[in-house]
Amino acid sequence: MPYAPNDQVQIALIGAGGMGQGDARNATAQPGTKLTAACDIYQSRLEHMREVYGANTWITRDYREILARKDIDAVLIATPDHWHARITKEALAAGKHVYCQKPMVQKVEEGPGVIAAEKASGKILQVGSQYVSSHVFVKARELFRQGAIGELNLVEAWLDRNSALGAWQYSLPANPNPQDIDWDRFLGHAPKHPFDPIRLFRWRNYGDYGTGVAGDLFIHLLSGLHTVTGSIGPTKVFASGGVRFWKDGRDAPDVMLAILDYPKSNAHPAFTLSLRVNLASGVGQESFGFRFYGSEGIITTSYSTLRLEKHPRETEPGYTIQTFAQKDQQAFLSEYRKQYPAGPVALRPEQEFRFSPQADAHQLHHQAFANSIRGGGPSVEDGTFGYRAAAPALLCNQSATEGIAFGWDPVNLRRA
Amino acid sequence: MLKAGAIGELNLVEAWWDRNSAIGAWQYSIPPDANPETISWERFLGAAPRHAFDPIRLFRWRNYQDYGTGVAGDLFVHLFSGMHFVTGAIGPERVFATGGLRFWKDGRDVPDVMLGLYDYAKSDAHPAFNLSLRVNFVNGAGETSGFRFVGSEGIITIGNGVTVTKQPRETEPGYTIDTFPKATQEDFLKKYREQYPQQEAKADSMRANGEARYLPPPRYNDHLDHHANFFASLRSRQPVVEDALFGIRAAGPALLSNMSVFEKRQIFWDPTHAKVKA
Repeated sequence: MPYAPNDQVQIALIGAGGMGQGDARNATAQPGTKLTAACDIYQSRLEHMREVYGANTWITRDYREILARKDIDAVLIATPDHWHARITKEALAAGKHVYCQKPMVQKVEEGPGVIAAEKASGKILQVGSQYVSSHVFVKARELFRQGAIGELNLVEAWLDRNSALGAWQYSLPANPNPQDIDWDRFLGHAPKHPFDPIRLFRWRNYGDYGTGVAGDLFIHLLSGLHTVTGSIGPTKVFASGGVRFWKDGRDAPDVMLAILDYPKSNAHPAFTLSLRVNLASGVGQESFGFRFYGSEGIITTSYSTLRLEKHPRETEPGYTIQTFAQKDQQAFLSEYRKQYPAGPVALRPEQEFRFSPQADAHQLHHQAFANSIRGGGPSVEDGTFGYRAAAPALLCNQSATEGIAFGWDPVNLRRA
Repeated sequence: MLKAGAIGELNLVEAWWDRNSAIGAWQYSIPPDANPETISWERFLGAAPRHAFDPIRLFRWRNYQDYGTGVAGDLFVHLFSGMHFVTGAIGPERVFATGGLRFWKDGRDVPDVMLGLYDYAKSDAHPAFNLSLRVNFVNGAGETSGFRFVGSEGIITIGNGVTVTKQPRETEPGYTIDTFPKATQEDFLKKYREQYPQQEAKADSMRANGEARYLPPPRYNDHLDHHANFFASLRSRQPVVEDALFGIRAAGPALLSNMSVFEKRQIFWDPTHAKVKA
């Protein structure tokens, strides 16, 4: 989108870990943007932000100082999950546009407050599930709406990994100095805990700060599903799993399966969703994909490919008459051929199409954010969309932990 | 192969049985002479609820809860039997299933799409794992059935024969240090390389990611083998390969899957004593 010479979007990063610094890179790759400030509770990462964005980058360990600055137009929030809702609400109230990493909230109850803050602010809130902007899912949506696979009945989606880093065993600095880490601000409203750098640098492994595979990875599957089908959410959620392999003290499962019921809506028929994450998947490559099953075909996706298989339905039902007496077989066949005349054998066309988008989903998602800030359209992933994906994901965690199924009302966004 | 540790530690089993045709969806043929004269309707009903003569309910009895057991009793039971045979598992502790009638709306009262999740507790035969089952009678493609046994060092797939994919675990964990300042990164790498010395890339340091496929002989028929086992047991008086206890340990969780779908709740099962838990 074109912009005036003085129309520079000034960005601050809150939470300068792996995803945060990646977001900063992708946000500043958009024309007319500049990263001017950064916040983290670990001094070392602030130093690295200055190494990358220049010594003039304004740094702080207190995000409220970022929100108080008048020269910041937009903030990228990439803190541990337990801070998302609070900082998002405060940033919107402070008049900032917000790009918040997924999941938008750590607890189901936090959703309505974020949506209310978004509405009251009039600012852009975009949640960071980048596949919402991926051309793979935009294409799948187009094909789905055209009826390319007939009537949808089942969706399977998965994200499998098989490495220490994939299982969130992120690196710890060699000698983290407690002076360099604001431990109490990391904890925030989480339960008190003595200083432990593992809980900080590998926060995804702990329910106190993160949201496990459901909040980190199911969320991508739900966001992608909702993008493609136009669905607003399930009515029932059941999940199960356990810590099977990465027994490093974590309390978040490394294998999780879920099944969710999606009711009929104007956008789609009733279907069942099956989700899988396995962090000890037994194969070398990370794998992320969907299978959309319809009555006339299947759409299969990966990170960067989409395959459409079209299988027309059989033209006659066939018969199972070999257990009947000869005369009854003949009588059956005579009636059957009146209804389904024997013609020349027509081959049913079974077609397969492959699509391979080139653009990077992270880039596209940040491009959409910059575009919305400049008035180029509503947020592509607003608070309501974010919550419609986050709530069922978090209910998966709760279902797996508490051992019960949960009902959900996707229209009124509350437990049912 | 599972017992020999071919795939490391088992953590997940997936199994499925998909179809996409009228006959596959139990729309069996009804003979033109089907009438109360040629059919003993009362004897068909037996203990089932009274119902007026209806040849569709007889010839397509799998479609009705009064006589059949739906996809769970027809097909999940194969998946349980096969999986228990391979792993030595005796059954899940918890059953949750969901699904619906999506396409074959011909008056049947059983789902044509059904998914189930099952928790298997650790036993002497295997570690704790999750089981996921799927039957879809409208799968958009062709007929397919199979099993995936997922372990920490590979996968055994049963479908067209048996395929064993071996994936040794990584020899070092790797690092995510690019958000740290340069000095911290160097400090980290020094210590990391003390613990995981840099391996020179050599042809013989590559890890073998093997894949082996075992195919049964041409025209192999497992029905024939199962009947051969039956008659062999009759003659030898040795135990059968699938006795009543084995049978109920497969049928129990399959039928509980139906109960879970119809009653919309999870069900707890005691696989040792083959009993529903309160």
